[in-house]
Amino acid sequence: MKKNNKIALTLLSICAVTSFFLINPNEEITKNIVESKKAKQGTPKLEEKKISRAIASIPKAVSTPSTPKEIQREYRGNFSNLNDITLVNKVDKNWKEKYQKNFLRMTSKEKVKGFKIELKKSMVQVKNNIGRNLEHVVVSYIKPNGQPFSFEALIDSETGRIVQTWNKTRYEFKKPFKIQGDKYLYKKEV
Amino acid sequence: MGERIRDKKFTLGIKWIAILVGFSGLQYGCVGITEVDPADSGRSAVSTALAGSNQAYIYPDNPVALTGKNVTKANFSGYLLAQFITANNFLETKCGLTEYFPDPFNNTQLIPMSVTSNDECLIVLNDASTSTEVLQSNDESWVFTTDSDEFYQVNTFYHVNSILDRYLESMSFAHKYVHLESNGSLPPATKYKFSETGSYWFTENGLTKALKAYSKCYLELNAFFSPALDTLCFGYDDSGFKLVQDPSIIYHEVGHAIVKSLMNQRNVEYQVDPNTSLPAAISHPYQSSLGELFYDEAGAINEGIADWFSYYMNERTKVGEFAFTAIGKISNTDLGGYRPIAEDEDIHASGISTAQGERVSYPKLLHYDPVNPTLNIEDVHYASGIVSHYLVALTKQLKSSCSYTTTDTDKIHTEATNFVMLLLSETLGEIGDLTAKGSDFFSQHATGNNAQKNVYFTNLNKEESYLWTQVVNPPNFRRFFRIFGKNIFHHISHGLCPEFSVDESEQLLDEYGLLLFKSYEDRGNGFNAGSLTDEVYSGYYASSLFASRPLLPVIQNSQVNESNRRNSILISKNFLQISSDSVAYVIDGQADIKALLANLTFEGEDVTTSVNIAGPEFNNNNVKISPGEVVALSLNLFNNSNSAMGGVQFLANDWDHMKLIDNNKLYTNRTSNINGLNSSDIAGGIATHSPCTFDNFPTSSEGGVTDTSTTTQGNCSYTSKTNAAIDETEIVSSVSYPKYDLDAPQPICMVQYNDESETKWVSQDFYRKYELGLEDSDCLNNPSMSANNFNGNECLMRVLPGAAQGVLGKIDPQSTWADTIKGENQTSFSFDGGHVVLMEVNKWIKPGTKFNCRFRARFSNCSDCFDNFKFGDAASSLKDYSDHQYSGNIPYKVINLQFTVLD
Repeated sequence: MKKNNKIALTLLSICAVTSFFLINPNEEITKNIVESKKAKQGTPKLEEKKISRAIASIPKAVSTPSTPKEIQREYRGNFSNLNDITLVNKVDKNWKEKYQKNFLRMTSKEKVKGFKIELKKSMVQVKNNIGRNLEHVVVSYIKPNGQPFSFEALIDSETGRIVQTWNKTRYEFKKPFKIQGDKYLYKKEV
Repeated sequence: MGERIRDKKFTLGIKWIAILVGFSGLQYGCVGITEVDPADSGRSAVSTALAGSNQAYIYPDNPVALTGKNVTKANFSGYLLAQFITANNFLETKCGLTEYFPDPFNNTQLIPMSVTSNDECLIVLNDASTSTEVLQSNDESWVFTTDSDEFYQVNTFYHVNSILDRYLESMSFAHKYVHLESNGSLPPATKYKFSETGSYWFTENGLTKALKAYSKCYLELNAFFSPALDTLCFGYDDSGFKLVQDPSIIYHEVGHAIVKSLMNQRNVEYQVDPNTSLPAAISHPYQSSLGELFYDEAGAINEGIADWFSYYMNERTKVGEFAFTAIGKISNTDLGGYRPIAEDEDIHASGISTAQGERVSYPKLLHYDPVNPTLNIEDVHYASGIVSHYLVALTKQLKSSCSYTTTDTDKIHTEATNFVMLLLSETLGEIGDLTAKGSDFFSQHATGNNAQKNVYFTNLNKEESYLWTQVVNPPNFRRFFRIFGKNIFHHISHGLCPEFSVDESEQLLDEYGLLLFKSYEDRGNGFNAGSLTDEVYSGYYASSLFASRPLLPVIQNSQVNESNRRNSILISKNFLQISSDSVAYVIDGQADIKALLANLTFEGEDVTTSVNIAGPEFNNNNVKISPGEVVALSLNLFNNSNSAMGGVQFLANDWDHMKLIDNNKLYTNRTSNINGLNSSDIAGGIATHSPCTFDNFPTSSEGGVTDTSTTTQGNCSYTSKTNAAIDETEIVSSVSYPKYDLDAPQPICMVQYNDESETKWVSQDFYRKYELGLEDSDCLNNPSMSANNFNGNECLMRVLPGAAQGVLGKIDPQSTWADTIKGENQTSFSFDGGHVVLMEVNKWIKPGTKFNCRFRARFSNCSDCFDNFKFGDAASSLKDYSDHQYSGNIPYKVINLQFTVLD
């Protein structure tokens, strides 16, 4: 009996789905187009919220390498259950601008060309069930001396501040900024 | 004299420029030149020659090596060989290696399995322009007009692919030996299943990432490897000089890419992805580098290995013959024509030879330039000579000592270099391991044993591993060659080549001044962060990753034979002192600091200052530390011994040197916590710290704290085992209440506090609260910047995280670093960003306030910075300090820098 029930249920489901597509074929297509349009025109608040808060139940880039541009917020670190994680920061949609503004503040008047922040991954770094929203980026630009330079960074999604940088470009010949030393000798206080 | 310093730098620069750019001249010297405008998308003339063969005409070596003459322009006519390039339609390829497994039906047999990358692992392009397309073959031929851009792309592909193929063969050999054929006395660092992680090459979450090589980069006299973008750029200049015309330079640059791959092979783990509950290869967020931005020993090791890769491919002990020769001609400078990697090359100064005591040794020859031996230059390319000469000498000794099944010298070269590659894989795999496991034997994912979740054998733990590998305990000559020596001991002398004895290995290391360790540390020096107990390899006796391949570790550390230590001089850290009157260099010139901040930011360092609290706009250039300034500090360290010190490092990062006054009062001093306590949302109190007494400072009457129990958490005598700082886990009604770990590392500076009856050293937080009455928002790195990580103990004086250590390459006996650099002939010297730490000073500090900042210093040839073993001690006590001890004072000389803030 149980087996028959299962078969019946399966057939019923197939019929229902087929009927739906037969009756409303254009509706589904229309829906797709609308969503696609939305994505292009931008509904940042909705999208941001969706991406940043959703507990990932959809396979991530790891298992869907064919769609690397679909940014999912990956959870990384030590935790037992995604539902137990408490986030200690929010995602500010302007994190990139905040980071760039600070970078340019520190570089003073010197000009960089081609400044680019490429988002590799949006993630939640978890430690003891406390999660922090972070953005894994590759920063690249041409320094004022004309040399291309790049590095990777984790950036706080709320403040836009650097958490860590690594993988900096390794030039064979470097001409670092030099400071004449002797004039800055500091004597011991008596 | 300053001119001479500049000349030295110029010379060094020119050498590399020549290497990178000098090839452009070759174009004009060649027959049948086809000038190709880079903007022109059209191809140069193609030939139907070699159609159907997927071959091209390639130059097998550089023009100097091919002709035997010191030519400065390339003319490959008569030297081109037809060689297979790729059967692909485009100039790109996948790669893979053969990985072996025990036969499940007969575990004495091994089964080979081909592992192929899931995407291209190498792509060669003309240049980095976004419009540049990957070159296509023509009728299955890769023949293009000699000297055209396409010709150089194809040749670049051939040489990069050649070294990649060799490297992957070597990795296959190394993996098979250490996991399946060795005696099991060491847990291998080499990843145990490349088939799962793909980390035999660049990978992100198991997906292969391609190395992109640009054969004609728009660089003037330079080349680079970008580990963020996985690109190699080879420069050229208008004279026709191209770096890719010298394959030894290609091998050197690809060598940096291989080092990155080896360093990070362990930084991807095959585990259940918590996002999907499916098994997947997951990469650690960070990656390890061998060498930072400025001079450091890790960078010198990287350069030395990169030069060895040239020898690995062509068996010659000269690197860049054509590039150096051409650039010398272009710049009218004597560059010596090449960089030597063996002492018997003619270019070496007198007194350098393969004879005993005449090798290129550490630390004496860290600044040695063979062309200008009287000059004194701190640069990774000179210090690397010690590494490259050692690696070549080792390879030659393995060739002559070991038994081979062939007499073919090429095959013997292949086998001997495979041995060295095994040593490099094991050493770099352990050093760069950000999972902090050291081997998959201790991985809960590889073993399926969750009890091993908190077991770490290298780089402290998973959370702090990046800080440890790059700042606190980075690879230096001591660390690298101790691990390298351990692998020779177990895998060569007690494995592949018993003819090369441990004594011979130690003697060779000593010839280069590299026998800087007393023990091989081969019993393991690990830690369980869950139980807070020590771990040794023997705790995993007979465990296995592959059937019938048990781990059979030693019980006691193997000791170096002290009679082999003749040239490697170890010096006590007590000989490293702060100069008696001129204690430091305080750089506070506004223009200098602005430029330094800009340059460090351009290099990706986080030197963000606290807006409106401190900044270079306050700098007054009076060589004093003034309110609001950002200053660069370099300790004026003096070597009071009679031998040179190498790799002197002074640290200004947070460390465990303060004690909580009350272990029940843990909350950081911030308004939100005070409100939480007042409303009883949380219980306990606001933390207050006192300085621990080290080397009798500060005394108890000065506010110092002493205790004796090394097992009581929170004690000064107990060093943090996790380096955990601020705990964010307490959240009540959606409000976070951050608190300190009992042994939280603290910022290095404390303040002198005078009340009516006494003068004491107190924490910055105490001082800002009780003396200055500063709000959180008036602090450096205040909550608007630091969020939950706000720490009142850096409210007044704060080290910028991107400039928290200084490295001084060498200090001569009875000398300071500045005097060492100046030598006998110079009167001035200069600092770069690697020699200083950056501190910001709160503008609200009252002039006259006195600070004490506790730097920690050490050096590579130090007798008591890495262990406290003294001759005569029981062999059972022979061990290095544990990783967690680098959170404290014991491995370092604590340097107290005192100063008064003045206008």
